[in-house]
Amino acid sequence: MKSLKEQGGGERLLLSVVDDDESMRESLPDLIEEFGFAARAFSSAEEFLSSGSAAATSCLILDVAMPGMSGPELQQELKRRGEKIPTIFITGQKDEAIRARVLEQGASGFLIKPFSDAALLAAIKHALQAI
Amino acid sequence: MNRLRLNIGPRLLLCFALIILSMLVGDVIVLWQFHIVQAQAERLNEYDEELVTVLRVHADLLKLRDAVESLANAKDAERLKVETQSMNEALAVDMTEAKNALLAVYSDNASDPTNLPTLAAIQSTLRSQSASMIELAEADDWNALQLRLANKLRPLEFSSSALAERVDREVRTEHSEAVANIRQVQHRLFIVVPATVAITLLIAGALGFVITRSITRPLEHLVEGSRMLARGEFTHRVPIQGEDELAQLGRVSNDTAQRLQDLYESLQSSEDRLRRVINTIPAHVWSTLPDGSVDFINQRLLESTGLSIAALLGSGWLSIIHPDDRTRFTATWRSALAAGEPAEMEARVWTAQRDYRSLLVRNVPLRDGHGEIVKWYGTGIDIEDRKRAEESLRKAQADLAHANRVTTLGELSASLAHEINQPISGAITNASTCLRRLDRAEPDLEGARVAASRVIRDANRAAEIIDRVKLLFSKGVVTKERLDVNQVIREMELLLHSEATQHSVSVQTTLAADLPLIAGDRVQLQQVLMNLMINSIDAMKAVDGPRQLTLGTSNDSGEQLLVWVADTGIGLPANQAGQIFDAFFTTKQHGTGMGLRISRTIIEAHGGRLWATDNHPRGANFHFTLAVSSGAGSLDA
Repeated sequence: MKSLKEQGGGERLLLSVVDDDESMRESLPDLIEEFGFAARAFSSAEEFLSSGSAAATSCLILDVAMPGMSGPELQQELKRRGEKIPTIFITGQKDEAIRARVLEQGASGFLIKPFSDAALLAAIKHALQAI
Repeated sequence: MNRLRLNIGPRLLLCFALIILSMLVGDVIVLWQFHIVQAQAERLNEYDEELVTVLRVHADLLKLRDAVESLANAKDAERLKVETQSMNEALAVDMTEAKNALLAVYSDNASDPTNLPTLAAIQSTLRSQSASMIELAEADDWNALQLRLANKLRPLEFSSSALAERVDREVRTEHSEAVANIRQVQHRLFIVVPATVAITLLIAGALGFVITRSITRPLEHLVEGSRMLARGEFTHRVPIQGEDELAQLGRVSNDTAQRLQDLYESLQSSEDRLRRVINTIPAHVWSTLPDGSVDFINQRLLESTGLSIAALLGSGWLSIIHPDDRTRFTATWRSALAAGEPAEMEARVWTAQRDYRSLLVRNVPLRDGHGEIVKWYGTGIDIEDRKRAEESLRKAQADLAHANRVTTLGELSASLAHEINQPISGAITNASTCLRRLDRAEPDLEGARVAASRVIRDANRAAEIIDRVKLLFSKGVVTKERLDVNQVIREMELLLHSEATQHSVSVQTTLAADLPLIAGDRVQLQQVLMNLMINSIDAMKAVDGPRQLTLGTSNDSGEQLLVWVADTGIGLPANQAGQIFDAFFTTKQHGTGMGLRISRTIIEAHGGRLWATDNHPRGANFHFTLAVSSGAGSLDA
């Protein structure tokens, strides 16, 4: 974190993780912080929306299948609210239809669990370039 | 023969009457003979009287003649007149008596008919001569008077004397006749009296013999008949003669014998029937004394064991019980005997086919009017086939349940893979973090340690899920253990998390705290929960709005737990809510229709009930109960 600060010379970018799976909520923020970003984890789309973190989020790492509002639904909701957050979808199930749909809707990445740290970092960098 | 028609009373009366009559006849004959003797005596008296009166008349005549003669000699006319008149009067009196006596005798023809006229002639002559002589005396013609005395009174004397002699002769004749008669009577009495006595005795004896025989012979028959009845020979009949009391008694005895015979025969036939029933019914039947020793065994049990009755009586039956069952069986039987309560138990029993077969044994006590046990009656029913069928059914049900689990798990494979994938992804991410922390110029060992321990935890979680799935795939025997139902629910919630998530179904639990443990098979209960939860998820796939799956437990009754699985899906099929538990009933396109059926079978095997209701405001609510485990050691093996 300190290294990122030193590298970026400013405030660290905030990445938000929305996943109903606890092990992902625990492991992903740690890895992201290792990449040099700040990270927050939310267990559901509703929790993310009500937290008011959307505005501060530079990149959203979003699980596809969640109880309640799903990942793609949250993507639609953010679009409706005019929030343009670069979004990387992560999912345990390889579903080409969903992948095609969310990419078409403007997602910047689509990762299948489990993914490597390199793949995640590449996806994050790609997403941040979109800004 | 006529006599036999009379009753005994009249018969005895008739007998006494005949005896009295025969005695009376004898008495009458004797009286008659006495009467004859008396008549003879009276007749003799009359003759004697006749003789006396005739002699008195003769004496009066002689006295008159003597008086007249002496007074004539004295020529005393006055006295002669007086004397003659007074003597004539006295003579008239005697003459009347003599006439009466003669008349009395005259009535029978034995006396001379001339006696009475002679007496009358004497009287009239004497009266006229007396008058003449008084006149002569008054005229003092004494000579004429003397002459008249000599001529007229003397002939009268002769005639009177002749009469007396005649009467005397008659009397003598009568006497001799009377004596002869009396002697005859004497002779007759000598014969009649003994004859009467003899005849009376004879009649009495004969009647007595006949009547006694007419009573004693039927009595002997009756006594013999009663002895036969007492001996149980109901076919014997008493011979009947006549219509008297004994004949009626004999008929009653015969009727009684007939009825007893009928009763005995019907008793025998009903006993035969009962014996046939007991020996034929497809069950083993026995009876025991109050102490439990066997005293009767039916044919079927003997044939089944191939043993002799002697080998099984008393406590010999114990040898045919399977050695492993003996202790338990005898303990149950002894406590039933001690308590006097009906007992039901199972035991394997040796058969003639050289194998053991399971019997369901029931014993019930028979009590007398005072409540004392007089017998025990028992039946043994072969339940070997049923047990084997039940075993096959259990196996078939287990196979079916397994097939259902495998099918369901197959449908869930994507979700399950996802569920396993999650911790693996977590582990990989944590491993990456760990490596990065180690790869720093200044390795963050503490951070790496935290990340590495998360790797272990995630990997364990994955292994745990695989274990659970493996368990559901297993085809093990049903094993009951003490389970925390809440724990089982939580495990299933985790296992189906991905499936629920994939269909945007949120799962909530309202689990009661301090839930008592139940005795059950973990895999089977998980299967029920899995079936119900998948049904709920399926029911919510097509609905808009909240998709809420609620799992709940409660323990209100204390003896049973209530578990429910509620959803906000399409609800129970209208008009078919009663059929959802039927085999092969399904509303799904690819359903087998066995899930709910198998779930209900599993719950019922756990002493519970499974049913469905509508959920408000939408969806279905499935409930099931489970029996609370009564204690730590009460689980079946």
